[in-house]
Amino acid sequence: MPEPVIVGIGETRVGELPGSTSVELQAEAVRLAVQDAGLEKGDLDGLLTCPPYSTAHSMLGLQVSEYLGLRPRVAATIDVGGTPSILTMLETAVSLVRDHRCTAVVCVFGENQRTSRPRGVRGTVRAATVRGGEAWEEPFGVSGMAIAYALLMRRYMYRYGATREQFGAVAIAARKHALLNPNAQLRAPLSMDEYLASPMVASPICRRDCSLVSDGAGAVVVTSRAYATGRALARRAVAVLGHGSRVSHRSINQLPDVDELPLASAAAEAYARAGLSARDLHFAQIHDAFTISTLLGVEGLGLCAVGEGGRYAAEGLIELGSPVPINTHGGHLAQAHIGGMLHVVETVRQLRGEAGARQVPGARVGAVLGNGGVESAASCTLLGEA
Amino acid sequence: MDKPLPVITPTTEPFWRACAEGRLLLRRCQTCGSLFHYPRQACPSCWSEALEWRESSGRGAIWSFSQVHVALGGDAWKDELPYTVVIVELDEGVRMLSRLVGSAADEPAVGDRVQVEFFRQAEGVCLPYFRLER
Ligand SMILES: [Zn+2]
Repeated sequence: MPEPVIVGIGETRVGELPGSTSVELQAEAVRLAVQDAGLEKGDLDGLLTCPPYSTAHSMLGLQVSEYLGLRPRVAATIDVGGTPSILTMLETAVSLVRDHRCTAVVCVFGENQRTSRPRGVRGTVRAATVRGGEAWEEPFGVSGMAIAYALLMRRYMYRYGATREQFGAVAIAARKHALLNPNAQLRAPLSMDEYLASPMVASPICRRDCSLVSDGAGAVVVTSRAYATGRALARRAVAVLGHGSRVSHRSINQLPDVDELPLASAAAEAYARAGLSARDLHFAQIHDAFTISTLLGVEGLGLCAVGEGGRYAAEGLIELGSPVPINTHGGHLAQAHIGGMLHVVETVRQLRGEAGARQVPGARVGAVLGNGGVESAASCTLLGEA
Repeated sequence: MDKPLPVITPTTEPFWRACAEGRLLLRRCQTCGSLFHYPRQACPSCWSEALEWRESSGRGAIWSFSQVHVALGGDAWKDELPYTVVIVELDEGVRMLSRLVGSAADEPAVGDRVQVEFFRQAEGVCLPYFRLER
């Protein structure tokens, strides 16, 4: 059975890219990833994508394929929500290669959310195109993601006594890491005083708890180890060690309590499939839509006990230099919000030893843990040295 | 852009009609006995379609809340800022997303007791909001 490995990564510039379109950005990331792998256009026979949050697209997999002049065996659009979309693409690519359906599959996501959002629309979510809250949320003044995450964060603070300073530690760590990333949208340090003085968006969420709105795209290419060896590809291949996922709800009005969220189940499944545990991690990338996501993520990965994420972050244990640094690229809070795709790209970069000033020494196993919706869907993928 | 009114379907129409009459209804499954909100065509616990309406006491406690300072839903919300969104756990055990209104709505706490109050939004459409119990 072919062993699927990640052999290429692509990352466009991020931030404000006026005049770009989501399809162009995705196509650019695909070309970058294929070039990085040392493959050629003709090697690709699978393309998986996720629709942009800012604008409506139908059959996007076909559109990106056509734009690139591809005639792949498989082109599909996967929309779970957040990082689970990305990790489900990756898991699907692994299956396609392992089952001899495809030779090389690219997983891509990106959009021009920052410069394309309709005027007057706030928040980081599909706004005009996201539906589902027509009866039970929007008439009550609940739109976008910040209010939903605020309700989650308040509940977390109530249950575990978490303080604003503990959430501030997450925002500050992300900024520190982004300072070491030349392709980061927000390269400025943040102090605790600045965090605490940041205006409230929806209490207890202040502006500095919120992730960025970004233009940009990323991609990864999966092929078999045999194909990579046969083509004598230059890059160090990265293995997919294990994957797990779990879904619990969609709407904030159906939010389970903070100790019933699906993150831990997804991580446990990934660990079991990989034969690994939290003790084996050298770093992790956690979908940080808001600072609360990072705290729930370190708990979900088992790096600390349930309810201890705030204290864990406040002790500096998520920062570079600690045993398991989190979001070494700056994450959605400070690098860019590309729906979790750059969390995967960064994980591959760390495992190749190509992360420059933010390289984790001796990084051999990394986790990507993410949620979609409001901690509604969770996915975890463990990557490691091939 | 006006504030959106609830989209009402045949499945949910009795809920909204009751709100307009000042009553808060929950869906109850006649097969497994579970209560749920929002109304659906089948019980989310056991998929039974044998459902009935049960009137809620309209009383409960704040499960979580957020005071909203930015018009995230569009400019139509600007004149309401700041406003308070709550998730209420009704005494029947069902949670419901709503708004907290009244003079003390600024500084609530999780666990505070609340009771339902209906606010007319349009002809025949009332939203169930909550107010801190006196
Ligand atoms: Zn039932």
